[in-house]
Amino acid sequence: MTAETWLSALQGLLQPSVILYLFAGIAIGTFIGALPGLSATMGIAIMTPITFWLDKTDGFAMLMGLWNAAIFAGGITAILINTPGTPASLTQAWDGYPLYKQGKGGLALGINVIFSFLGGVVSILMLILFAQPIADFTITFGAAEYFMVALFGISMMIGVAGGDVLKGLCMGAFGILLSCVGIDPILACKRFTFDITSLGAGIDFIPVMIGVFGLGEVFSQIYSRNREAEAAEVELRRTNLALGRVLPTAKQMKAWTPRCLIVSLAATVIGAIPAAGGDISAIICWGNSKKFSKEGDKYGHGSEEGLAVSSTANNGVIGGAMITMMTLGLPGDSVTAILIGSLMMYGMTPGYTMFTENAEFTCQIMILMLLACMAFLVVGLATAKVSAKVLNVAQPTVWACVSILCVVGSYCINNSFTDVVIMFIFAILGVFFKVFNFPTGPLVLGLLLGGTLESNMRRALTLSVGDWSYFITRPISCVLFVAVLLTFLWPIGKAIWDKKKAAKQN
Amino acid sequence: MHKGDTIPGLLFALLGAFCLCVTYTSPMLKFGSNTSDGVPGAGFFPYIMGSVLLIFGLALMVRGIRQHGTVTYMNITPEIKGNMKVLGLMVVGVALYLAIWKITEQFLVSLVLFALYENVVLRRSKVFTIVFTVIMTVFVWALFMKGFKVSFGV
Repeated sequence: MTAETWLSALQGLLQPSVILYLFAGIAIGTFIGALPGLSATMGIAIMTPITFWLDKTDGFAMLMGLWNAAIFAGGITAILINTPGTPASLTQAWDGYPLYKQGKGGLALGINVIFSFLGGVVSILMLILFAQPIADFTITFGAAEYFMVALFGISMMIGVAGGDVLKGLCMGAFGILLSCVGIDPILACKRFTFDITSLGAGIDFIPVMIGVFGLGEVFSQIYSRNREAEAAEVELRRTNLALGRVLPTAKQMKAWTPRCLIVSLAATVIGAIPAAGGDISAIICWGNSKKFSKEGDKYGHGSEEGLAVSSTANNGVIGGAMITMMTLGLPGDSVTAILIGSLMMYGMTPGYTMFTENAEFTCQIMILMLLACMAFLVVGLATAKVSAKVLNVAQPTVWACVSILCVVGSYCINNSFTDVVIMFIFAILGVFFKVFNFPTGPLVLGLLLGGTLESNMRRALTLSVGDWSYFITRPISCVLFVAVLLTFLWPIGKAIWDKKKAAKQN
Repeated sequence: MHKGDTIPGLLFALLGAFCLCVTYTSPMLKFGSNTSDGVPGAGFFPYIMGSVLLIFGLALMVRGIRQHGTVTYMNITPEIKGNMKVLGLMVVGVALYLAIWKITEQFLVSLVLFALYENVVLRRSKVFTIVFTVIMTVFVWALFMKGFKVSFGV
């Protein structure tokens, strides 16, 4: 991408509508992130159908604003009521809430905004630097490599996302089977359509996401509602301790910044690993920083440095997740999975073509991410003390709003009633998956990557006239195959090792 | 429920077996292509993934049986029981919302009814219910129907 492309992209963004939608995204994202139980994924899933009616630049301005703001705003509830607004802000509660109780709530909110900005900006700069070279590398990829990349993505989701590998495998296989519904990608014959015309186009990915992460989440929250905990939260809100100053001193900034710069680089790398989202990044970075810091013993008891590290780590994954999404078409997390769906709706396919045929729009996405960080820095600092008011919205109000928006949103994608029914079915399934501890990530990724997986596998076998060794005789494909094997074998090996260790100790 | 993963495992295995049966009985979905040796047909992937799901589902089921009820997912306390009732009413509400929309083809009417219903189920005050219904209906009408020109036809 040349300087001219970047300039032209920037010019395209200097429109009042883009700025307006960016700030609308920031406002919605802050609201969603600050409410416990509402995640950035849910926000993006609900808002994506709305953006289809907008110009693609306006739509992505809104989504980028929402995503960046929702991640940082998750820290607000973590700090003020000890309840992470999003999973990524778990470690922020460990240091943020004790700081609030010490009368340094304002400073904690300020640290959250400033270091979320730092983490976000560094990771986006990494995206700008490394996306093009990685994309250039993918030009050598053929069907076998793309098959292995898709398989690697799914295996990482099963292996890295934690939990039960066998359940993850079941969900992944279920997701891939769902992607088989519709017209066969090579021979164009109908599969699993059961004479239902609307299933001919297959199961759309976005209604499934809205069902699982939107309405399904509402159902799950209704199921697991705990009135005692709610009453305790209300009590905490009433406590209303003094917040104090918001901005850290220059000395404090100087002391924390070098560590946070390293953390943001680490978070970007973690974010680039499929399935390793902000929660994993924050825990790894916070844990390692605690080990190596001089004030490590203060971590978890109101350490300002610990909070700065957590805030940097959760926003630092954004750029990394976008690197794998834009260059390989592999979602780094559930949000980027929906963004792939959005790009496809606009007629774009993540991968090398994003950097050739849609180079200007790709530059615009990266610039929009930077602008979103700057916007939430300004908005976040200006409204740090007011943002606590968002917490006063009652959960049933949110549930009622979200359920209506899920129905409306899932219809708007294709003007299809079948999509609404699919969304509803997956909302019910989502509750069962949650109750029975089945990870939803592999299902979503299986559905998203199933088509890529199948078409490239069959293309590779057609090219090699049925020779399966084709997948391991090509160097890149072979390396990826080993990586897939390791991803599956590692948890099994670890379980056997742990069992042996436990038996020895007994 | 008290057998851990037995029932979910069985359901996954049945789903895998169902996919295999559908693929097997469909004349278009063959494992190999008609044209050349070794080239996969339209049924190739469904066969593989159906088998994979069947195997993993069975493995999950066997593991559930071997655990013999040591894993309990649904610890139904009186509070959860109450929550399940609300959840059931919400699910029925959404189903009715979609049914009324489909039968009458009156999207806004079904939306108003659902907004009223869900607030009653969630035990909100009368004033809140009315205000919420009005705001949400106007919002959806103005943004989607007037702004984005969505027809909401079924």
